[in-house]
Amino acid sequence: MPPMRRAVVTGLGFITSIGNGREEVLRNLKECRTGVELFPEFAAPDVPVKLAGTVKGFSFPTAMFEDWTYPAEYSLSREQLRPMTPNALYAYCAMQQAIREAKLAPDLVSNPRTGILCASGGSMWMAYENLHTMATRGVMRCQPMAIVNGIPGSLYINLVSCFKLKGGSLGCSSACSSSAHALGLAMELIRQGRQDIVFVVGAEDCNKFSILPFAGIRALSVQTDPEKTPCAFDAKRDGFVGTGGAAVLVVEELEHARRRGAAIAVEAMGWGQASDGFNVIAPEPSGDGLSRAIKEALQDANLKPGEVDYINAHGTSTPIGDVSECRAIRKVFAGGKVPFISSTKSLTGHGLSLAGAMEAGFCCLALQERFTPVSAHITELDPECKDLPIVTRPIADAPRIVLSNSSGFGGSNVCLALRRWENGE
Amino acid sequence: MNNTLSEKEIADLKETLKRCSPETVEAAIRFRERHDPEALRAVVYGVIRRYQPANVGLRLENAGDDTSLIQDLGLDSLTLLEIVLTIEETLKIQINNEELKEIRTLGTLNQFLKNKIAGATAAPAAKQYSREHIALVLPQQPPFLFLDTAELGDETVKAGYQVKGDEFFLAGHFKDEPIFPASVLFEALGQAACLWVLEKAPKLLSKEIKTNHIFFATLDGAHVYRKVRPGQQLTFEGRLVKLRDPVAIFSCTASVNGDRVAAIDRLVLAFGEQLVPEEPAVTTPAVTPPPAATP
Repeated sequence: MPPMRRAVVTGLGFITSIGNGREEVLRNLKECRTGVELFPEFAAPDVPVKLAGTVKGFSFPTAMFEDWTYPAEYSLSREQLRPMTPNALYAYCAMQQAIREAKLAPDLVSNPRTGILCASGGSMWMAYENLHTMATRGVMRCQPMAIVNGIPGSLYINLVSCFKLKGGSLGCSSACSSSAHALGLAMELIRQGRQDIVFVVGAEDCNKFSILPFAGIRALSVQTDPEKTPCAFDAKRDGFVGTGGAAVLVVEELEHARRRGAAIAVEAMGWGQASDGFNVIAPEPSGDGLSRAIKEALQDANLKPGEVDYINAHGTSTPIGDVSECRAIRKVFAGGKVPFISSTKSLTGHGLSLAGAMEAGFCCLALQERFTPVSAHITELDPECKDLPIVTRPIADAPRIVLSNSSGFGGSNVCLALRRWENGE
Repeated sequence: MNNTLSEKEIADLKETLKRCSPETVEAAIRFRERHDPEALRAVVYGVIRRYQPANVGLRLENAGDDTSLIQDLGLDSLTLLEIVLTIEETLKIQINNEELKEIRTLGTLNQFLKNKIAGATAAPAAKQYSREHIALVLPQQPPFLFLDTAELGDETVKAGYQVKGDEFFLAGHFKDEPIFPASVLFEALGQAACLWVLEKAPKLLSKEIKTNHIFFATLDGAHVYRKVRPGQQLTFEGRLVKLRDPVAIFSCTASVNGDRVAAIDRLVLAFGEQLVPEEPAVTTPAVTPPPAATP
């Protein structure tokens, strides 16, 4: 039997509320600076939610792409921008960064052995605008791009076309675990020998259409001070803060990366998934589903629980979600060494379909740059979370093996296992 | 024809023509208010200029009637669609898919719009039916439907049928020599008339006509002139002679390439609850036949 093919990460790209590139994201993670602020789109008095993890350097004043602005270092033609959604534009920029960081030549980007796995809930804003135009002005007034930029698949549709990708292309749609699923599936494609490189992309819009539908189920924080909220695991947490943006990971087969002399950041060791089988929205209170996903990830990565140094929690800062996650962690690690735990969502906001890839990217930074991200804005830990080593202040510990948790609506749980790649390995 | 636009209409027009030059907006207003044909070209060029990618393709100043929109002006098919949508909205016209296929050059675009505008101010075009649409209206269904296309005018029906050669009855009509049967030619003319009655008569008579309540009543002066063979394209034309509840009377011809192949001087369709009207509304020397194969 040939030796098992292993997946490593060789490039990252970020358009997030805490920075539009590796250096800025790293600095803000280390210095615990929030990307959340008062969001002008939520200023109307009838909107009970005021905060969002805003994406800086972009503006989308109308649904007409010709009105959009984006950072000057990126350049798109009219034909490239025309079918895009805001999240696809974010993803395009993050892809450029990741390709540059991975030093992928054009013939490796556009190659039958290079595929893409995308995760997005789709641009509800563009879907709304397109259908509103159709309903109010007539079927034949519907924009030519109405389907292309109205369906969740618009992310891969745009990126495949912009970057002339030749390998497999697919969208993952499992709500807030979507892009964690995408990274898990990318590992499978690499291991099975179906691809040598897979771009894993998570991207979401950041506007009232992508965020405010969560207000109705009282899932969003109504606090107005971005220095206090979101605050996962804190006793006073009252819901999540929405964000958007894009994160891209270049997942590559180990020997392929070695042969071309790529700088390897992290090994994607394994992953697990499990469903709650419980409720469309609420997580199963005991954390059973997530605990099974974690166990499966450990088994897949051939790890013992005691080897894990850090868990990047799903930790959205909702009252029930955080407690359920703590119970899941206890189920797996009780009786032995419990890894440090933090939620980077307390700095960025919750990126929904983007969250899994964004946080896996943060874990790569933590492993490479040898730091443990802090769980921000905690003044008083929830009694239900108190016994766990939640990182409320900067610590010196440099993690070697980390897990990243994601849970989506319908009780869809994913856990990713990542390991620092040592120089000379 | 003068038609002063309201402030809202002008605002909508400006929104539609956002990113077009002020001259384009002025031309559009001139066209919409006064149907000034000179303004048409300015609108079209203004809209194309707004969508034409920079530094690609021939500039409009140097373009002529035979300039290809795609190859010469560097527009892709989606940009062409954007242009069409904007022009449709600006001029308040509809361009259908068939028409769109014909528009390849600046000349064909301009000519098309001129015709369209002239047509839009004259009589409305006849309504077009596809085979699928016809099958939704008529009680006759495949394999006994002999109309592929149809268009209905106020008092006319024109339909087409391609003799495929695999029609079930050709195997026996005749042995070793497939000839399209005369009875089916008459049936097809009846189906065309039937389509007119079902689509037009209810409104004219203010009366509902159920699809299974329409029958052949009379064929007068039915003639066949030529053989019709597989592969030939048949054209059926009917003209309404009289419509009076419960009958419609047509004169009909069938032709291939303009050559008459069959004709019916008087084709009478009856409609209503009764299978056959006891007293046909029109006195005719012909005998009233029993209900034919056509319901």
